[in-house]
Formats: sequence, structure tokens, C-alpha cells
Amino acid sequence: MNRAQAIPMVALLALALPLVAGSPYVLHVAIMTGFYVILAQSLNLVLGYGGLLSLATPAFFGMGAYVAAILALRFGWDSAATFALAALAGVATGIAIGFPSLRVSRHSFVIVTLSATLLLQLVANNWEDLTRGSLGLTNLPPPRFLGVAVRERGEWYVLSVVAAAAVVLATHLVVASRFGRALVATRENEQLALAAGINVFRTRLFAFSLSGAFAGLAGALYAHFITYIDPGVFGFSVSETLLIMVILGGSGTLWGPVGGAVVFTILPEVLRLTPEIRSLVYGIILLVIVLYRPAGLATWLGRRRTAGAAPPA
Amino acid sequence: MLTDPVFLAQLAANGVAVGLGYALAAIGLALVFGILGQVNFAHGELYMLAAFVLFWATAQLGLPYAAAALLTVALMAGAGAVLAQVVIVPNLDRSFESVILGTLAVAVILQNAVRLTFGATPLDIASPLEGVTFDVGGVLLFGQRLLVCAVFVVAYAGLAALLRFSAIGRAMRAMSQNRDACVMVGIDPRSVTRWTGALGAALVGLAGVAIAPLFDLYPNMGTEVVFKSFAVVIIGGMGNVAGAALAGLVLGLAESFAGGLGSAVLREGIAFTVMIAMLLARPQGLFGRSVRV
Amino acid sequence: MRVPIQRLLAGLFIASLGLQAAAQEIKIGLAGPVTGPLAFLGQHMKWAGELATDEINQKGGVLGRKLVFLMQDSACRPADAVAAAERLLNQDKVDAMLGDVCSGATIALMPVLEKAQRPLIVTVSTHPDITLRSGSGGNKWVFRTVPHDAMIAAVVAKQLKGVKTLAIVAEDTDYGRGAVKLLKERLPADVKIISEDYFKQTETDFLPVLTRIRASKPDAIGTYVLDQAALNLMKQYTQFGMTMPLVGRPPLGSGVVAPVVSSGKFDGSWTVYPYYDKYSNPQNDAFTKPFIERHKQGPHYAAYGVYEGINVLADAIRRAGTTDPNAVREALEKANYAGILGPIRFDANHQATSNLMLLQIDRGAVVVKDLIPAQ
Repeated sequence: MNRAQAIPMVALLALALPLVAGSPYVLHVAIMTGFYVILAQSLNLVLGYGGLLSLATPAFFGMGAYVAAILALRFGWDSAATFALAALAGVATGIAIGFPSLRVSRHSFVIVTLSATLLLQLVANNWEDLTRGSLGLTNLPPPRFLGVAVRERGEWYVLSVVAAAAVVLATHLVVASRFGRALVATRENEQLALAAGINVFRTRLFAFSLSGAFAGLAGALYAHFITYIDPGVFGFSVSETLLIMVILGGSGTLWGPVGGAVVFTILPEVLRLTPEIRSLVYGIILLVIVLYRPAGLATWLGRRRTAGAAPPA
Repeated sequence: MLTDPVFLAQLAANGVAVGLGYALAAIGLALVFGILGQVNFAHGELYMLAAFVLFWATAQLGLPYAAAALLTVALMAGAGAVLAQVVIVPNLDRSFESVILGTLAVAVILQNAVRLTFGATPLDIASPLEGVTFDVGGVLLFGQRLLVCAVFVVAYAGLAALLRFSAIGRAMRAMSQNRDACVMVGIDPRSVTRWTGALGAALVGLAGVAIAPLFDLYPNMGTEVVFKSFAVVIIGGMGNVAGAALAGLVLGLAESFAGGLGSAVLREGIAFTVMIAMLLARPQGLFGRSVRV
Repeated sequence: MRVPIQRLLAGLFIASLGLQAAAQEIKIGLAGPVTGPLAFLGQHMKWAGELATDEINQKGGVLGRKLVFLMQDSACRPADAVAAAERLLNQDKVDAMLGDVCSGATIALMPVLEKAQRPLIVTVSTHPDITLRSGSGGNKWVFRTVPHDAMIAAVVAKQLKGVKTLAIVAEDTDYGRGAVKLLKERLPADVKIISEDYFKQTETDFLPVLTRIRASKPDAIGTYVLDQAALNLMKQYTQFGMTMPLVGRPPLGSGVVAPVVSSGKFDGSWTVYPYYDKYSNPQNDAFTKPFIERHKQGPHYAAYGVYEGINVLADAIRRAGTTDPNAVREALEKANYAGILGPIRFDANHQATSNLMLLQIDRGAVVVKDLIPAQ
């Protein structure tokens, strides 16, 4: 099977899911998959195309979630506005974290992004007037876009698919653009990119803030869907899941992380068949894939990895 | 109160004891990074595993603390070699993300295997030094924590001697500098990788047996350790063992004074803040990267 | 292997949906922490759920039907709790659910159960908002069998009479932060809080703060941490040779801290808890004896909650004579179940009022000083 066949197949599978089962549970998993596709693409932009292992995605996600939730709860603004502002909050966070962290070495970058994220979690926990701290923000209303509310699972599913598709399309457009080529150039060879007149820092900062926009949007969607958020949205576990999705899906490819998000959102749910040993089995499956399919599940689609190869450390 | 010398001395003593514990827990991670250039995300779970093996050896085999500790460290060295063989050796020529994910998977497996074997109920290890407290001019020093400091000093000196004087130590240092050249002079990188894995795990095993009696044992206890160890390794300069040791001490002291003079929340934030500030001021860490002890 | 991964997973996924169980069983679901730092509590909840259902089934089940208890992992995270609940409700077709440990996860479950129109019995979480939003507060499907933090704070505040200065040590979660806030609103005017420290739930190092508290010498330490952090705190407190009592809500009755409590160094410390496993009355003995036989340890408060919750549900289904959710909900509203610590009846907000226990340490032993009605 080649890529041209694989893409429509994945797409069809995703879209047919609610028709196959139609149960709210399957819809719930499908909706969450859409959110994870967005988040995986957010990380993919920085890690896959930019070659930078960032653990800041939960920071963008959390900021998006809090901005959307606070604006909806305090002011009751229309979701078209709050979602846009959530994405903007992701951009701002991307710039704020990217500015210092993109100047340090590649390995230090990992830890600075993680530390900044955990610092934001600490702030969310302690700025009680705004965030209610660890009590969390409860009872988020259904999102309302220009007066049209999204309530039912079916409507949520459509919203999730549309948002995920938009993000994948945006990633495609960005990566195919001049900027995208510059970004890949900075990943492949920083010195050469500099010599070619590419502003490496600005290119990376732009990728980082765009990654922030995606994850901020995902945060807004998540907050309204679960109707409750607390500082846990900044947690490291989100990064862990996303790394698995992106790298094992095939980082630096457009569809690899999408497939990774689908597989690794559904897999833990399938494993609920054995609740006691579910996490153990998950770990073992993960290890086997790392050892035997290290270049990502995309290789299962019979495609050799070229552009997607992550840079050597 | 804030100028009371006994109060400040107590904070300093706490800070040193806690900080050397951080350093002891982190040097294994720094070593593996320094020599292999790989980040071991299962580092915290190795620490957790050591604590549970120690529990098994003391409570279930009935061994005295010292004997159980030695047995644990030996078993941990073996586990480290296996981990290196399974996860790091096949990925020596792949990107560093492969090892990160592989060790992440091992971490998940270990957490759950321990939970299914020992149960989730918190356990407690009795150590002969636990009730021992020394009063030095009003400043209290605690037996088990002094043991942690002593173990750190011994482990650090031993590691330095091993790296400097033994053949395998020289091979490790050679590998940290140039792997390809190693192959040419007849050093097998896979063998060095296994030895490094074993040594790193033995070191974190030592940390586990020394520190575990201070706290309760549960399958997720490694998560805390891995974050602190990362902070220490980063502040010290990735892979720099001496830097990690000093960074552990600095972090322990900073936390102690932040918590004692400020608040617990301030203490919680200090590790991240120190780390970010440190990296902005000196991106190469305290000493820069190199395997130096 | 050339099986396309999507096809394989899709097959598995659909297979997992197809498992429909026999219709005559009555199923009760629970979303709780099987993994994560609170797995200890999840384990107790599972044990209690199994014990309660086994006992009921030995006596012939409910309405002649077998009771089945199903637990899914939430890791105490809201999103995972919702996924677990959706699976239990839609795939396993549970007739009712019990809530999670963490209030955040339970709060996230509330709209899910409302939409699915199945009763949710909250048996562990103590966040006051849950009651505020239940019954006449809006969500008519949610019931709580245990007292919430505001009710407990009122009792604690009363007990603090005579304490002049108080240092607070609490976990930095909805439980710790929320409980301290509620306590402050109810504190007698002459009690002064001299310091407040909030720790992450998994904290192990209390030395800096204990050093400060040792120097500032408050009359008592208001303690709001869970069992594991409490053990570490109390070990370090002992090493410092401190003597001011721990008050408020230290988990003094927990088996986890039993070894340090028995040292006698915490004499005079007290706590207000909804449950203590060694409290002896015929009902509690009937619960703890088989529990200890099975698991070699006394049931935790979380186990007590689940055990009572399942019995309250079984009682309601019996009285309703059907598992029809609306009938069960109405039966729950009229519940008058003879619980371990007294009758369980729900008020307009579906909050049960039961007795709280005042536990005090006396010569290394936990003593039940008083049973105080929670209001």
C-alpha cells in the first residue's frame, strides 16, 4: 500500500467510525482523537520539521484551555472570539517560552521547555483569583459559534474533525511554503541554513508560536468538551503521549502523526478490555514498536522514511 | 527568627543532606548521558525498582539492611546491563528520540510490573539508622541522611577511580569522546554500552537503597526523582558528573532556604527557576559538557 | 507481518465493542485510579466493590439478579475519568456508577451521567461544589453518601477552640486548598494562622517547612495531606522531636501512618474523618472482618465509601423493584439505608448527612473521642 492509498483510507476510517458504532463512547474516543491530531501536529511542527524536542506543548494547550474557559465563564463571549484568543494565547506563550529557550543547546531546550511548562502549572495552581487554583474551573458551557451551540456528541464530532482537518491542512501549507523549507533546512544543517541567509532563530520562533496556536486551539476545544479544567492540563503526561504519537507515527511527515494520534488514542481504550494490566500491556506494545518500528508506524504503510528522519543527536 | 543562627544552620544542614541525595540520585543519569549521549527516562523507575528490591530483600528474605543493600545494588547493575542491551544497544545508531521513547516504555512497564507484584499499598523500609539523631549545638543531623551523604562521597570517589584507573573506565571515557575512533582501536561500543548501563543503574541503585528508608515506597515514586535528576544534570552541564554533584548540592540548599525562609510553593518553583536562569546565563551548564569527575 | 495496522486495530476496536453481557445482570461501574500516584486508593476501592458485590450475590443478589462490579482506570484525571465512564455506560451498559477519588474527576463525570441518565453515587470525593450542583442544585442524577469539606470544616473549626496560633501544612490540590479556605471562613476569631504551606501531593521533603514551624512554635499544625505525604511528614516531624499536635485532618486513622502513630510521639493530635476502620460496632465489624481476611489490611476511607455506595444502590434498586434509572433515582431520593455509621438519607441537594468521627491519639493509640453529626 502506498501513501496515496493510505491517506484516503485513514480518512475514511476516521470518518466512518461513528457510523460503524454510533455509541457515545465511540464518539467520545473519536472526538478526543481529533484533539490529539491537532496536538500531535503542533508537536510535529517543532519536533518533526524543526528537529527540536519540545515539552512545551502542554503549556500552549493549558493556556488555550484557561483563556477559553475564563472568557466563556466570566464574560460569556462567543466561542469564535474565545477560540481565536485561545490560539493567540498559545502564540504568545510560544513566543514567551521560545525567546529564551531557542537560544540554548538542543538538549537544554528539552528541559527549559519542560520547566517553563511546570512553572505555568505552578502559576495556575496559585493564581486563585483568576483560575480558582486547584479547585479548577467547572461547568463550562457548550461552545457557541456565532450563536450556534455545539452540544450533542455528533456535533462535537463534526467540530473535532473540521478543526483537525484545518490544522492538518494548515501544517501542509506551512511546510510546503518557503518558510517550511527554511525550517527543514535549519533542522538538517543549522550552519548551512545560516549561510544560506536563513534567520534560524526567527524561523524556529515562528514554528514554535504556530505550534502554540494549534495547541491553544486544542486546549479551548478540550476545555469545553470535558467542561472542567484544572492545572493538570499543564501536566507532563500530555507531552509523553504526544511524543509517542508523533515519533512512532512518523515525525516530520504530514500523515504520520495523524496516524499516531489515531492509533495511540484508540489503543488505550481497546486495552480497557483488561483494566488491571492495561498499562502494562500498553508499555510492552510501546517497547516492541520502538524496537522493531523505530522509524514510526508510517513504515507500515510501505513508505521509506526520507524527509521524516529526525536528526541525529 | 530569620536571623537566628541555629535556624539558618539547620536550613543549611538540611540543604546539604537533601542536596547530596539529589546528587547521588542524578550521577547515574549524568554518566549515561555523558558516555552514551542518551537520555534515560526510566532513570526514576530504576530508583523505584531498587527501593522495592531492597524491601523484598529486607522484609521478605529477612536480610539485614546492609546485606540487602549490597544484594540490591548487584541486582540493579544486572538490570542496568539488560536495559542497555535491550533499549540502548539497538538504538546506538538511531536518533536520540528512540532511546527516550524506549526508556519511557520501560518506565511504564516497570511501574505497572511493580504495582502488580507488590500491590499499590505504600510500603515502608526499616533502617537501623532511622531513629538516630545527633544534636550539634542545637542543629539536628539525622542518621539516615548522614548515611546518604557518606554513600554519595564513597560512590563519587569510586566512580572517579573507576573511570580513571580501570580499563573499562578508560574505554568509557574514550567512547564519550569519539565512538568511531573506539571501534578502530578495538573497543566494542556495545560492550561499553552494557557496562555503562550497569554502572549507571548500580549508582541509582545505591541512591535507592540509601534514600528509600527515608520515605514511603509506591510504584510511582520514581517520577519525582527523574524530574529532580534532570534538573540537576542540566544545571551541572549535560553529562558532567562533577557538575551534577555540585548542582545537586546547590539545588538542595536553594530549596531548603526557599522553603524555610519563604514558603513551600516558592521552594517548589525554585528548581525550575534556577534551571532556566542558569541556562540563560551559562547555556553550557556549570562546567560544560564532558565526562569529568 | 504485512497486516495493515489500521485494519488490525479497527478489528480489535470493533471486537471490543461487541462484548455484550447477559442482560439479567445488574452492573455497577466505577471510574477510579488503577494507575498513578493514587493507585493505592483505587486498589482499596476495587477490593471494597468486589467485597460488597460478593456479599450481596451470596445472599441471592438484587431482585434475584446477579450484581456485577466493573472498574475502569481514570488515573484520577478528568479526561480519563470521562473516557472510562463513557466506556462503562455505553459498552458495558452499567446501570449506575460510583464517583472517582479526585473531586476534579468526579466533577467531570457529573454531566456525563446526567446526559446518560444514570445515577452517580459520589462515595469518596469531598469537594463542596458537587453537592451545590446536585439534586435541587441542578443535576438530579448525582448523590453523595459522604460528608463534604464544608461540613467537615465546620466541625474542625469548632474543635480548634483554645488554639491561639496555627500553622497550616496542606496539599496543593482541590482538597488541600479547598479545605483550608473553608476552614478560614469558619475559624473562631481568636485563632491566628501564622503560616500556610502547600505541597504537591507526592511531596516527600518537608524539612524546610518543619524547620521553620519548629522555630515559630505554633500551638498546633493544621494538617491537610493524604496518607502517603502524611507518613513522610510525620517521620520527619518525629526526627525533629517536635511536640505540637497535628490537628484538622491528618489521616491519623490510616494504616499507612499506623507505625509512626504507635510511637506515642503524636499523643494529643486529633483529626476529623468520615471513617475509621477500627471503630467497632456490629455493622463496621461485619465490613472490616472479611475485608481484612481477604487483603491483610484494614479498609481505607475510600474502601468504606465504595462499600456503602454499592449497598445504598442495591437497597434503592430493591425498593424500586426495577433497574429503570428514573425509578432507581426516585428510590435513592427516599433512601433511609442503615449505614455503618448511621442512617443514610439524602437532602434536597442529594447530600447524605452522617456522623463524622473525632479521632484523637492517646498513648500511641487512636481513640474515637466523639461521633459528631455532620451538617
